[in-house]
Amino acid sequence: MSKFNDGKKQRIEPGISTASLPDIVFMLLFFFMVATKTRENTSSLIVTLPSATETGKLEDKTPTAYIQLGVPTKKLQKVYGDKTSIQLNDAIKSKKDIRMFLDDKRASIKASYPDAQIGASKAKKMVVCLKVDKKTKLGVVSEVKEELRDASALKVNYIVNEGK
Amino acid sequence: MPKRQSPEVNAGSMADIAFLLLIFFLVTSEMTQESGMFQLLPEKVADTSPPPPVNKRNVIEVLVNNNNLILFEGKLVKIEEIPTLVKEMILNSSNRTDWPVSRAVTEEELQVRIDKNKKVLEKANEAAQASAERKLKKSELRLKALQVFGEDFRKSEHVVNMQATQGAEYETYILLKDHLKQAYKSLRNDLAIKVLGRGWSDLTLQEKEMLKMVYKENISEAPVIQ
Repeated sequence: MSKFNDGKKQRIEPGISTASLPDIVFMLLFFFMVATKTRENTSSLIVTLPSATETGKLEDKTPTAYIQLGVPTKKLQKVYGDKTSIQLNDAIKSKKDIRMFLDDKRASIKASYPDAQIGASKAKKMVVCLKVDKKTKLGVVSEVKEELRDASALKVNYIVNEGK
Repeated sequence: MPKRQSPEVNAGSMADIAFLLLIFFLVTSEMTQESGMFQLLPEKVADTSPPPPVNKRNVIEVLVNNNNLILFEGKLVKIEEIPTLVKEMILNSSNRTDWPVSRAVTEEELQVRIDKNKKVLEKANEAAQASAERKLKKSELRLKALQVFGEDFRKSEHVVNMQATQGAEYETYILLKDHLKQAYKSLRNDLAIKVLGRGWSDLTLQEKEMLKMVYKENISEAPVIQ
């Protein structure tokens, strides 16, 4: 090599250009924004889901409302006791609040569409996802289901872990 | 005054900003889609008139008690036995008189239904058009199912009546529901293999739809026993 460079100036290796790095990262960013959905809510309850095999997946973009049932976490047990409680959005609420929660949810689904008619039909399609701890007594679950019927939210999806 | 060249904006930190955004989205989002079991709750009706009488032989009773034990038609059974037991009763191939009625479907009755749905569609206004169309399509598909499955397309009048007591655990309830659904899936799978020569997972959407018509899921849930 040196005989070709004799008498000439030492060549300096050019650094790798990082100009396209932002583009790559932005591409990743957009991918994740499209492929994922934002976390619905953090849990204040201990919910261990049961397992089942005959499950289905909700269509993308189906409007959903989440209701969780379970025992409050250790930290919150001082405040809420250790009985099975109901969580709507981020807070532990009582059975009576379910109706208002569902009405609010439907109103917000409706409002998120510019066309009132489409909004109304989307609100009708709302599915209530129940995340229930597997040790919960059925009495409590059925009380919640009665509330759902009262609020005429009839589409229910029991969230489970897939498989045995 | 000499014209000063404005310095170029340094884009080096752009990557840092984008990374920050990326990490934010990674943390706040979840990728896994939840799977669940769907159920349509019965509508609340105001009138308290007694429900239409159901022939007792058509009802398949399943009960979960406070100790999470399962009673099938009054007998204590293991949960793994449920699919086979339910399948036997729905098929009722030995024509037992204490098991649900299962009768052959005729082409005429399906044709009557198609004609009825056609008339409804003609009269339907704009709002009801879509649902009337769907109904008509469904009844036509039912006729096609009869042509495909022939005498295996039987109408079973069974109702699976699922009951639970207040103190039963949710896990048992879900497991029982799962096993009841497995019974239907297995029925459909058996027929698919017999007639079409393929298992459930290799069927087209339309074939699946038709099999669901042949073995229609009919699980009713009684209110919880106090």
